[in-house]
Amino acid sequence: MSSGDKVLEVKGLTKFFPVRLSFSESLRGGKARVVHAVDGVDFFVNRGEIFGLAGESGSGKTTVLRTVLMLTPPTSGEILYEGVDLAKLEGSELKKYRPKLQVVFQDPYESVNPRMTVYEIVSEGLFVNNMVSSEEEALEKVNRALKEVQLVPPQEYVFRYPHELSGGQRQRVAMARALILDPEIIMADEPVSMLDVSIRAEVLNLLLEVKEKRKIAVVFVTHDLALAKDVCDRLAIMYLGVIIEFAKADELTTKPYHPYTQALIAAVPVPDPAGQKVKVLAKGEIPTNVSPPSGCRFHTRCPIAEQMCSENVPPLEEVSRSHWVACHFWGEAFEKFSKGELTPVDVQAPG
Amino acid sequence: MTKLAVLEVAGLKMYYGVESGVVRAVDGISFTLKEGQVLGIVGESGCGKSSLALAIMKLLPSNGKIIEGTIAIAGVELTQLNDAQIRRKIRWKKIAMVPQGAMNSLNPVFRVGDQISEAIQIHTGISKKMALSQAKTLLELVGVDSSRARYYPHEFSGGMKQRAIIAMSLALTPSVLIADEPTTALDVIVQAGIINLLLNLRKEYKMSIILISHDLALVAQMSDVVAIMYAGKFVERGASLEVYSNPLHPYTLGLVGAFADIRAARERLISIPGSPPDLLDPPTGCRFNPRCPNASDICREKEPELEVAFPGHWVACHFWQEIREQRSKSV
Repeated sequence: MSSGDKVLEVKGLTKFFPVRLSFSESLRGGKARVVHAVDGVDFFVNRGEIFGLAGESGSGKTTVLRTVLMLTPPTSGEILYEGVDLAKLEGSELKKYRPKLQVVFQDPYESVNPRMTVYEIVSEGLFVNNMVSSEEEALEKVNRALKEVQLVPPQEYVFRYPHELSGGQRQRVAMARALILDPEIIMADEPVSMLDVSIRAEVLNLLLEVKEKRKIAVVFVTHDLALAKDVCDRLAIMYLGVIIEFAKADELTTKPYHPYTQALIAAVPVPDPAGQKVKVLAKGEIPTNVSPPSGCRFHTRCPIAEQMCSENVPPLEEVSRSHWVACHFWGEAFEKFSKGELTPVDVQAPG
Repeated sequence: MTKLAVLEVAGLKMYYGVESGVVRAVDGISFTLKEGQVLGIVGESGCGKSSLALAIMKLLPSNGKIIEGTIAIAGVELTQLNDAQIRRKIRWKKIAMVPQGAMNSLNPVFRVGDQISEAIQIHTGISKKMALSQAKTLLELVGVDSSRARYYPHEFSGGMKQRAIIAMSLALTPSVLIADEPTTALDVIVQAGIINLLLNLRKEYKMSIILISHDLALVAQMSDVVAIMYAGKFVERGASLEVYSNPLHPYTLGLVGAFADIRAARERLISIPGSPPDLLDPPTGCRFNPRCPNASDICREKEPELEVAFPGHWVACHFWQEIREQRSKSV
């Protein structure tokens, strides 16, 4: 992997949110607490690459995305865009970089203003960033952007309102709004999870095409591992605010080292009635990240946890080429997982 | 293996009257559900799959009306019964439903156990104390510790809430359970737990389940028989093993190609062009024809009927034989 292509590097990113005390708690002198939404995350993204961040709800994946976009400033850590730390910038200095990192949100029914036309939605960023001098110029750019996202002919879409568009078309409008600013990075937060299965692929393939053509980087946040395997080049798994494993996407889904990644993969149903049935390899549900578990955060649910797991935080280490994992017993876990020796924790699945 | 049919639906049509016309949400659906069988109904949003469930439960909104067809459960014809009879004899007792998003419908100011026991009390008239003890048994049955009966919904996780709702639906030991998207909004490990729970209930109590979902993989995991629904109609149905390994309808094929499979090698997903039709004004002929790669004149003119392609495998397509040949050549 040529490290010279890094367009984004995130180092030691943390984001804590204060928890508001209830009235009675504050009367009793309760201590202020924080949610450790993101608690020390490092990763980088290369130009022309799709980097996936996957995890359950509450793992902090969306907070990473929002923090990297500086929609909310990090508590600590660096967000290096081509070497410049965005976390240190403010106001007009930061605004200069905003077009470079663009976002496509999860829900196209919420993320586009229903009272604006497609033209207004897509061109707004151009005016905000002083990238055009006239309406004519803006319209021309909007038309070009609509063509790029295959809303053709653009004349037919440009003065429509969102309610006249399908979900897939709205998500294309959201992509056009991002692309029109010539970004270097697109941050996509579950961009197809609200869409029907039959139209997911067209939005994803468009994202892949745009990435190829423009050589931009994409950060793809998802909870769907099967989809992530097909879309992402590299994939990181988050749990309670930290990355616990990352590798090439298809390697991660075929050779998961971390017991949590294994539990996720064993729980994904396969679209084949003759195929392997789902297994529950982790106890319970993701705990609160107000006071995350000590040591390895996964030890409370881990099928192979030992004493040391509750005491020592396992470091994220490169254990084979470009495959990083944070587990004291990853070797043992992987052996048991591949031999099918991990026992499901729930009531026995029917035979 | 001839098992008893517990539910028989024939030629069911349910339309909604709206200002601008008639929405043909369920348009001629027939199937038989046998004892202990899981039927998966797969379809996209707006295909009428939830409306079908509401029609079977006779829980229709005021503008929804069953136009034609029959729904027989254990020999009783539901379309002939009035609301009071359905409430007294059928709903909860013979057939229960876990509606989509039901886990968010628990009342936040009552304890979970009390909410379950209230349902039992109302329908059986037993004492409050007995109802609560039954509620606890039900919670244990679905894998929630019975001490949690005293908890309020906000003290439950998403998965536990869904289990509580399933427990409630089992209160009067129905023979058929309709589960509409029972795992949407749940994380994948929690989802796996719910899948295994439902399958266990099926096995231990010979309960029949209708599973409604947009998720091909979820349906593959759970169903014995599967029906693919498009624009108010079943376009293909049969034994799951058969339909998944030998899909004949272009829509089924399209769904399979659009669906990511975690076991498969990295692949580019293929979309189905266009979007599902408006059921106010569905296309003439085959309703899938505007999106179909195989469509020709006959598809635009004549509506294909569900026909037997292989024993136990039904498909509604004029060209299923050609599709099958094409596929066997390309393999």
